[in-house]
Amino acid sequence: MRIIGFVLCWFSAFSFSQERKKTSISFVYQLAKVESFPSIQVNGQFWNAAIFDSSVGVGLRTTFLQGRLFPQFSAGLGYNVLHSMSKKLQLSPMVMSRLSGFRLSPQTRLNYIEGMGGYTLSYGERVILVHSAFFGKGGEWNQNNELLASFWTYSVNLGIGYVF
Amino acid sequence: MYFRIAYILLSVGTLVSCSKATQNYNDVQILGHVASGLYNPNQFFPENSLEAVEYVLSFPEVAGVELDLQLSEDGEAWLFHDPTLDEKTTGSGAICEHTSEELSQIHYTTINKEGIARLSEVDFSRAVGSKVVFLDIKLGNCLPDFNVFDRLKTTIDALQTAYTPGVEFIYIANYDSLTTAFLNEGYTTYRDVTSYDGALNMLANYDVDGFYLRHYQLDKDQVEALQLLGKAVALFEIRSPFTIRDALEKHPDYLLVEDVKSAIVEKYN
Repeated sequence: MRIIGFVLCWFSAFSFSQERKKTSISFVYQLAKVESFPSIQVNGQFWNAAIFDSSVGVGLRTTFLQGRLFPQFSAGLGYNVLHSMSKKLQLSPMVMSRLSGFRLSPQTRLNYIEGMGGYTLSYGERVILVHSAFFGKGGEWNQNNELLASFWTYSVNLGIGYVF
Repeated sequence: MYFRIAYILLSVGTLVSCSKATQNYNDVQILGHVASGLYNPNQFFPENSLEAVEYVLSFPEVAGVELDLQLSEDGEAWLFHDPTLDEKTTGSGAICEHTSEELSQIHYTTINKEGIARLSEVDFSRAVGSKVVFLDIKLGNCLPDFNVFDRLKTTIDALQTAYTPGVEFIYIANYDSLTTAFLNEGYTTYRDVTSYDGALNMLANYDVDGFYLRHYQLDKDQVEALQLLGKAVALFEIRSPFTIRDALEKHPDYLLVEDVKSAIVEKYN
């Protein structure tokens, strides 16, 4: 139920924003340290050239090959440094954080928190190609909030989207 | 539009959450091959490192780890998989060509620069629950000026005194002279073989406690046949979820896997 609530709030946040200038929705494949995540990404441009980026995805192997739901949510903030130069090309240095987790076994649940810096690059007017890359630190916790591992993490993303 | 996508996402989530028929693999113990796996892009720590051993042993679902033991030039036990240090560390040459002092300066070429671990540095008492530790003894091509078995015996006796009964040590002694000596000492000794026939031939010469094979080198009936002879079976080179599933179906005693988390998911699915 928490997941359903989160997803609904996430989409409605974009729907009701008064400051929205441009919104795109993309299908993005993330090659990440923890796992690969096919995801749906929403990118909104607000207040001048600030970018808010948010996505929800599922772990490819754990979810689709092993039948154990592995959801991932991310949110990022950036700034389109090319906003005054190009309407088609967008380049945004970004910071982003990610939450993900899955039930490993009946007795163990694993949660991941990642904080990363990187960039997002998109090209196009209606149909856009999206690429982004991030690098940072992550942590793996179990259900008792015990830190099991602290690790360097990355994410290289490629996708295609549509601008509304 | 957004809500439609939300509903599609929720439908996919519901679909994949549907439970499957439960299989019982309680007789199969999962161990981390070289602790964190040799071919695992999702691993957080390098193989055979202290960090990897501590991490893998912290999972209550994991029965233990397999580690590779090599002796340095001065006879100390170090944990390292490859024949040489060149590919994965800042060092070069074989472990047995270096003294312990030299090896302590060498680290893996990772961001965190984890050092190569001495066996004596591993604190097995931090393991959750009782665990199994496989030690694969690799002697390399160096000719030491000490008695190898005497050095190993000192190391092994110290380990067993410190951690028995909490930890069970199993030795993979792939040298005929060592196999005989290990069996005479009463150590739990396995041999690496490449087929069922190879295992039977080995039993004609050595009454070892178990066998260590690649998962595809035995089928389910052969695993069962060796178990009926009172011999344990440990399967390794298990990487993908499909391979894990296939190996679990054979019901060996131990699965030495590259990705312990994938194996746990499969075992408890």
